[in-house]
Amino acid sequence: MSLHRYVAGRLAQSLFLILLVISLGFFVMRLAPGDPVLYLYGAQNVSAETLDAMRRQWGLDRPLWQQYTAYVGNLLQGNLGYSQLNQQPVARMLARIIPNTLLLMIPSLVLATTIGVLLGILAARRLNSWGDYLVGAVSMVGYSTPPFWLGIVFIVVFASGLRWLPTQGMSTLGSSAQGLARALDVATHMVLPLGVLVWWYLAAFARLTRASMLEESRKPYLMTARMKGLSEAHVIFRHAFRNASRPILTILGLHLGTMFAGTVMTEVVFAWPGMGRLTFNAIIQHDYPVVLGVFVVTGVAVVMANLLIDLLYVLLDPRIRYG
Amino acid sequence: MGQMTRRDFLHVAAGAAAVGAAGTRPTSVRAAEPKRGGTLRLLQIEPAVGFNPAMEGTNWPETQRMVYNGLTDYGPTGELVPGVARSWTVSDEADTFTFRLTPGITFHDGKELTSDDVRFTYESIADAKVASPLNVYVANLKAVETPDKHTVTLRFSGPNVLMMPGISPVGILPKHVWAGTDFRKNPALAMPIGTGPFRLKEWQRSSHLVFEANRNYFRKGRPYVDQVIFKVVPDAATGIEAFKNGELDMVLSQGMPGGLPYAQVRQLIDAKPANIVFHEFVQNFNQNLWMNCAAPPFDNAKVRRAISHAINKELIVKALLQGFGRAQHSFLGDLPGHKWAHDASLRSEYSPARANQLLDEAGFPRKGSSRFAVTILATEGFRVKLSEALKAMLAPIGIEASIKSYTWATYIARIRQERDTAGCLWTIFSSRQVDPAFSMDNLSGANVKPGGANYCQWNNPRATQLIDAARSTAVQEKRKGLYMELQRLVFDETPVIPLYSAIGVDMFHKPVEGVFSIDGLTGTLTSIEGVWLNK
Repeated sequence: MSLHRYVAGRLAQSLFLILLVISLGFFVMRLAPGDPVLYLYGAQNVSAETLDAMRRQWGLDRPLWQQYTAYVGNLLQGNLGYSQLNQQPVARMLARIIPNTLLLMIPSLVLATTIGVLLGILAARRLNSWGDYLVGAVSMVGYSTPPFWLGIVFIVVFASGLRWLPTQGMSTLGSSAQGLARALDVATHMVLPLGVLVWWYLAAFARLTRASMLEESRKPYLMTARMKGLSEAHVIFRHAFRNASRPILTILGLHLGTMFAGTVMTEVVFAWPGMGRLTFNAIIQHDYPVVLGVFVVTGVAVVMANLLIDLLYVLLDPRIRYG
Repeated sequence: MGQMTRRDFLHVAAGAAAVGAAGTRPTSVRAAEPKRGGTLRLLQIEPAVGFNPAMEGTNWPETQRMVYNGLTDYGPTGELVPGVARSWTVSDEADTFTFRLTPGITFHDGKELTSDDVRFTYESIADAKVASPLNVYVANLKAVETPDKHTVTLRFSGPNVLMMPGISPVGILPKHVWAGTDFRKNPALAMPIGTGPFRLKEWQRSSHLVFEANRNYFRKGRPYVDQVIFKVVPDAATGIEAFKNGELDMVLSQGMPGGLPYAQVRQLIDAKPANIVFHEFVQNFNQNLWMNCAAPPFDNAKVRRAISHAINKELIVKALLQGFGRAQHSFLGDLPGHKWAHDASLRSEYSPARANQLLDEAGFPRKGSSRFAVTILATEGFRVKLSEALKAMLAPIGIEASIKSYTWATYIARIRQERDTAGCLWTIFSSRQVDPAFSMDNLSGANVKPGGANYCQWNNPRATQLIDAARSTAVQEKRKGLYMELQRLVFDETPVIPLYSAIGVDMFHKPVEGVFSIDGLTGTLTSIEGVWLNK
């Protein structure tokens, strides 16, 4: 089987998977009582008849299977639907939000992976040294602290206390800065949420790299490499790490997908207008088409990320062949 | 007080005219002349999803009022003052309302506001096809007449006691933008057009809303600031940190569903920051504890009364609300809009002994330490804390409570739509109490059916009769008598237990001037056009 056919096969499989996720999501969401009409007007003295009239207007009175087939039908034509609650097309809402999430997600993944891998290698090299313990402690704290709590601590210390950085948002309110000044403004707003995310994610990378490198270091080919007189850096990065990196790639692939869904609590605490906030609000509001739209986009992202990782395996390990 | 006569309304209108453009609270320091320019930054916790007043009802008043003007407006002490209507008359029966509009008022797109726009707005609210959440307040609208461009008369088939306090401040829509269109697809949903002091310039949902001054505003000289930004910060604690940090100029209680983060606000006030001003004011809502009166054990009035004696309302106000509230004993809370009808003699003493006695009488003896078990429904956040306090207060009288927490939509659906509440207690605010008729709907037999606002399913024919009678007369003395009887009946039967009314805190940094926080009404909302920055 050629690579092309492999990719085509994987894509077809993925399409089916995404449809399955959406169908599940569609029906699971409807299991919980409540709808967007009640979310908005449940505490107002609206009559029962008016609530029913709103449901008719919003298409929520039709049988569930009809709503489902209508949704899937639209989706197959590339239409993500209309959010009655937010009074705009879902595609427009997503298009506005996705760049904000990418802005936070890509740098945090790059930084977390780089720092995590370097710390992991360092720890593996100096096993049971104070450096190893320090890396272990730092990653344990990062991984076991809830990100929203860490976020609030960061705000209290660095924003309210020391006043080095802003507490929330993506840019300074009312600022008309353009170009470089604007980029700098956004960057200062990114520091705290980025700090939380990097700390949280680097733990997994550091621990995994350490374990993976330790496993490799016991293998005979490294001894051969050293005996050939190769420099230590060469041995570590060209030989050991290359082989140790496959599980790291796997984790990276997983995170790529999940991070796309947004880092909900971090975005809520820092009022970052990203996918996580959007999803959080949509679930709270029972805004069904928006939640499903997020499922579609995230599903596609997870599938693409994993496909990319699978292809990277081939580059890293020539023994892997598809077909 | 006599009846709501034409003369009273003229008097109100005249007084308002005298107050004129003075937008400051009498107690706050007034500098000589308001300065112009600058940007005002405010907090919004729950992001606004819409602007059309006919569709959003009473949601997000803080941003709606930026863009629209109603026929009337609220003055610095909460009285009705002219909005786009410069004067009005009300028939003795309160079934005919005639408004004279100020000529020359223009919408943001330059078209003049006329009586046609007013007619269109009120007919839309009443139109069943639009399904406006406000339609219940104009249900008996018979006709809207527009004898000329600047006069409009609304005729109802009977008295409408809610027209002036409840509906007249609702924003007027431009007919030329909305007529003949699908209200749910109109482009003006995203770029609302009104006559208000500001126009919406930029709307990044779940991030911020930017409003710029409307320089053709009909109240000459206003607004003072060039730009107003509402920053959406979903976490109130972060929002107040941002305010403390100087990233926001102002935090209004109005935009905080479920109330302020009380402990944090108390801490902030106690720290006496030199650069921050606090306005405390009575908010127009009551927190109530509801029970399902249609199923055991709460179908027994003695059980319900026992619960009301078991709850220490003062302690809730002191410990949970940090003092930002007042214990209430009548379902018609002691609020400015109710003053004339409120029965202050009703009082449910905190007395676990009395509660125990009532439960014994009701036939729920203790088996060991416990009599029976109930469920308290809650939503994440403050409502869970309140429920925990209630649970602790029920334990000594032998009622074992467990707490179940939901998201808001599921919570309200279970209570209001599914009616899945046998053996349950829960809390819901009665909001927007500008007239007793508003909250009394919650106890009417007409709203017992699923989806109706009678959450407790208390179906008392006499109460329903009194509620209807008090709505269908304009004679205030008569209404007062009916509400007195109704309050006593509700107190004796206890289908719902009033807990407390809320006290709001508007906070702003020193350079902000011209803020008035209105007792019992909508906080500072209407005054943003009168706010200016002293720097």
